Amino acid sequence: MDTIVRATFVYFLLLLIFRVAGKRTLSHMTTFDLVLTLIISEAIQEALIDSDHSLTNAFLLVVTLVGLNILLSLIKMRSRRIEEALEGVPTVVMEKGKKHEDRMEAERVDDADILESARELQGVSRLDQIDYAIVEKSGNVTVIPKKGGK
Amino acid sequence: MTSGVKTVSDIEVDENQDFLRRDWRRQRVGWVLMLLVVLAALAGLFGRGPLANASVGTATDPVRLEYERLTRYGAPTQLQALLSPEAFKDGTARVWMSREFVRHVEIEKIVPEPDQEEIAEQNNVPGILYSFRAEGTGQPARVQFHIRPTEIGTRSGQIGLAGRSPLSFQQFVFP
Repeated sequence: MDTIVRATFVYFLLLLIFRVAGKRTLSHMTTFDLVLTLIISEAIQEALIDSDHSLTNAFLLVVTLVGLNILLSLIKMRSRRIEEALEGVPTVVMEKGKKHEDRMEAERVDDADILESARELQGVSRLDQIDYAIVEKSGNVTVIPKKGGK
Repeated sequence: MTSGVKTVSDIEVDENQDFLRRDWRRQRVGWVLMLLVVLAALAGLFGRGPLANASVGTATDPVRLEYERLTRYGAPTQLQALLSPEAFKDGTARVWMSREFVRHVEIEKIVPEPDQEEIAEQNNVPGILYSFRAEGTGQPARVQFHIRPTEIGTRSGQIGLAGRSPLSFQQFVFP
């Protein structure tokens, strides 16, 4: 029983922490972000399994965590408000070639981040070639280049 | 406008400016809360720090107890009993501890090892009596109980000398 309680608690606690941290926090994996992610998993692992190293315990944990994920995805399908609360919403940081500085600051995105995505995804090299830039819920920046403009 | 997705200018994206603004504010509040948690932890609110350390009894009592009033589930902690010279009779100090406390912790070791452990009731409270032998007890002696809490929540314990009224102490165990 305590396995289920523990897994549920950890699930929602992590959900809350990463939601509060913001979408950009661990989205774009720098080398250090990867290391940080590994350390976080290591830190939570001991608390999750306690001293019960049985196969049963591991199985129960996985079933609980995956089950919660399925459950929440079902709820999110039905309620837009809950989806927003749990996942956030995308932020349009460049609109018709104009930057929204306030939104960029709030999302911790700068010109370099937008340009990086522009190069990576669209092969676009300058800011003035960009029509739209959006910080997606995943934290990735997506870019739509101006039409016909090179 | 299809499937509840709002159209901003000419791209279809489910943006929600009001929500975003509130969300950012909530995130900032969350960051401050996380900072407060870290500061509280540094101060020892979650155990292992100045706020967590406690003691019962005075320097003139035959037994004084130093312990952590806040500790964590499964984490090693110590009870330190300070025995004054007058706690020893014929070179032996008999320290009584309530069973109720021992029931919720795992005692890993006692330093020094007691010569004898007995089941002993005191004022109708079940407990364990530990006997420690000593030589040349001109100085206060220290007995360390290395324990690990095995249950979450508040618990109280009693510790004292055999036949004397015991000291009460409380410990809160975080999950």
